[in-house]
Amino acid sequence: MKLIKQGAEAKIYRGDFYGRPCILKERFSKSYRQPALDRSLTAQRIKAEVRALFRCRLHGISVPTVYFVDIDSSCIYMEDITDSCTVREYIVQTQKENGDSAISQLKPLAAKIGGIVGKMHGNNILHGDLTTSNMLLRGSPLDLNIVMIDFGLSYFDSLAENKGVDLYVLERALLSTHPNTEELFTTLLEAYKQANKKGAAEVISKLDEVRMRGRKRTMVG
Amino acid sequence: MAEHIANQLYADSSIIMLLYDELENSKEIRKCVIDGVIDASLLKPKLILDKFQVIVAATRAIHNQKHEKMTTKTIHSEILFCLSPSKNISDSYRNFGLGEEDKCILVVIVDDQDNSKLNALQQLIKGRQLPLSDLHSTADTSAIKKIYKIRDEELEVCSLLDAVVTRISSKEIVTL
Amino acid sequence: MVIAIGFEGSANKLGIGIMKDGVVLANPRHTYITPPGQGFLPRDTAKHHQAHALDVLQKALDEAKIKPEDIDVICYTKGPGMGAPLVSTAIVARTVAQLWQKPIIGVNHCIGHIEMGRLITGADNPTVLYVSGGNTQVIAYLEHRYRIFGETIDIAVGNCLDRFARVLKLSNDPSPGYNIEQLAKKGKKFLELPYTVKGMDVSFSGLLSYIEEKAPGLIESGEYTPEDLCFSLQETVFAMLIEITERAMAHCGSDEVLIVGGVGCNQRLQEMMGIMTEERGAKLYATDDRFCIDNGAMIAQAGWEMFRTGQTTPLQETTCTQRFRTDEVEVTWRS
Repeated sequence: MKLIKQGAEAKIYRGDFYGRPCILKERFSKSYRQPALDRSLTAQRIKAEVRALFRCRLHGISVPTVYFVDIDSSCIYMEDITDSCTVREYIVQTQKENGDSAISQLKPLAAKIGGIVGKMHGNNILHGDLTTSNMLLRGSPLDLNIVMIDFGLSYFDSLAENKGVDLYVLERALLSTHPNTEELFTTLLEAYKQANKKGAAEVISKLDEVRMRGRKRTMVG
Repeated sequence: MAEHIANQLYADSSIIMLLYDELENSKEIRKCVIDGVIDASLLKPKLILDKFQVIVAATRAIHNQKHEKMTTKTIHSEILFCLSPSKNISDSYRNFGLGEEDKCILVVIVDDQDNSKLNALQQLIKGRQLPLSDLHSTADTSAIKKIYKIRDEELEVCSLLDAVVTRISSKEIVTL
Repeated sequence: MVIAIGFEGSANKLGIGIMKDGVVLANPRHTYITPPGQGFLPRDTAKHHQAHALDVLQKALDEAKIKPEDIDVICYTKGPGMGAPLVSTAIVARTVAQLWQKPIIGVNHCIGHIEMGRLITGADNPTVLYVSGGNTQVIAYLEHRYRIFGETIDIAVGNCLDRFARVLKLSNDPSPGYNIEQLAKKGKKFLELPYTVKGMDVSFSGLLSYIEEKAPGLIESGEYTPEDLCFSLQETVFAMLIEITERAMAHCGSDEVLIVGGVGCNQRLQEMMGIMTEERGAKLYATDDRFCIDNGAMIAQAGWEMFRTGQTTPLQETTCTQRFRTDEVEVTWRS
């Protein structure tokens, strides 16, 4: 297995699992944490990831297949989605190449994402870390074959407030990484409403509340 | 046509798989295993889509063995248990284990470095050996979907094998 | 040569500082301290600032050894913060601006922390963790704005710590956070508390409710001492802050961290952050309590930067605002 990336929480290796392209995600301890907290958090996150990957699939959301889980060594072996790029990379490239017309070109992608998040929320699955780096485009980006990844912070909940926060995290991740993409988020929300017909209105009202909280919080000190 | 598969995570371990149809003596073979004369997993090929399904279950089982965390008594029964979506050991034997009347069998042997178990089994089994690739034809996809509770919604985003494999690998963590 | 005077009073610290081209000439401060178990209220805080403003101002001028004529620009905290205290301080600034016939600039309090932090530590382009009683933000500079990458979705970490200090009836002198820190140093037993990170944001209100509810019982039963609880609280909230800081660093590809704000004085936070940065091969910058804690010089420094690039605030616009996002300001002084 070859180390291809070292993030804040985990090392990612690429290799092979009995003939299938495989990614090994190995979470490592953070020395700044109290050991009890570190062990607890790490185990919690691996389990959360495995459970979310499973539940997403059940509801028709495309995610990698899990091949093997070793909680004691904090490892997950899963399907490597080869022939893919992150949505982040694709947006950056599109904006670079097409400047002003990029936004309209990216709208179908935004809608697809909104649909997927809507489906997740409709099934009470909260990703917890929605960013454009946690979405893969498999094959030709124009096919909009999106695979969701990185579910370490995920959890299952029905509260509209939490879904609103999940969307808020996505909005801020989108806008801080890809300047001037406000329109894309609007498109995303429209598709979200269609995919989560039952709960969308309440979620979006909670999203507005969280957005205002950032603006209305009395800052002291 | 027996396939030897080395364990990728534990260098000292390996498994051997054998597939037969036109089986004449399933009762006898079962008795040998129950009596402890033979040390192997006897599986119903009907519920096995692909050798990878067994590999994933065996990976889990062997890991449990190495960490002294097995739920069942032997590595061979553990493989059966890991294949099964149920937490009930007898259910796993009943559903995935070779039945007395079965005409097909998939055998899995763990850690048989000198091929002694393999040879003994090949002597014992009265049937027609098939290549493992034939598992696709002996598999009963609707039975597989039923036992693993796989719905069409899921199959829109992955293959049946992917769905089965995820269940096997995630079993201990996800409450099905 | 530009001499700037800064007036800070957005919370319970009244600070008036004088900067001359990046050199601190004076930075006196007077803090409004309430009895143990009590927080500070806007009206009383404003009264405190009014009462001490002229003394602190005189002290600043004396320490800097300058006269009003020498000053080039008056800077004051426009916001964010508590209404009445902000206004009481702004009034003094406006008055002296008119009295001394000097231009005036409204400064964002958070940016004051950031600019002073950058000046004192020499950090080039750090990921900033701004943590105080009223703020918890992870900030990075991008295209003329200090962008907020992560923040608290409910209360600030300092607020969380201060409120727990009240539960324990700790003294507010010199500050509740300081006293929690001292107790925590003696804590040994770790209590697992709710840990909430959502993307790059954190949430403390659940954790606070949990510990507020459990603390009396745990202490009475002898299961945990107040020291253990302070220790557990710090270890948990700081771990959360470090996690979001690290994620922002990974996201931005940054290798520098700057901690600013009152909670930034905490040595355990600095120590934990240091461990994280060392493991990443990054550098940690932090200031001491002269500059971590709200002070006037930081306002003067940020104001100095703004003034240098031609900004001033017309007198009619020298208002205060309780809500003033860090990313609302156009950072004209950086490329």
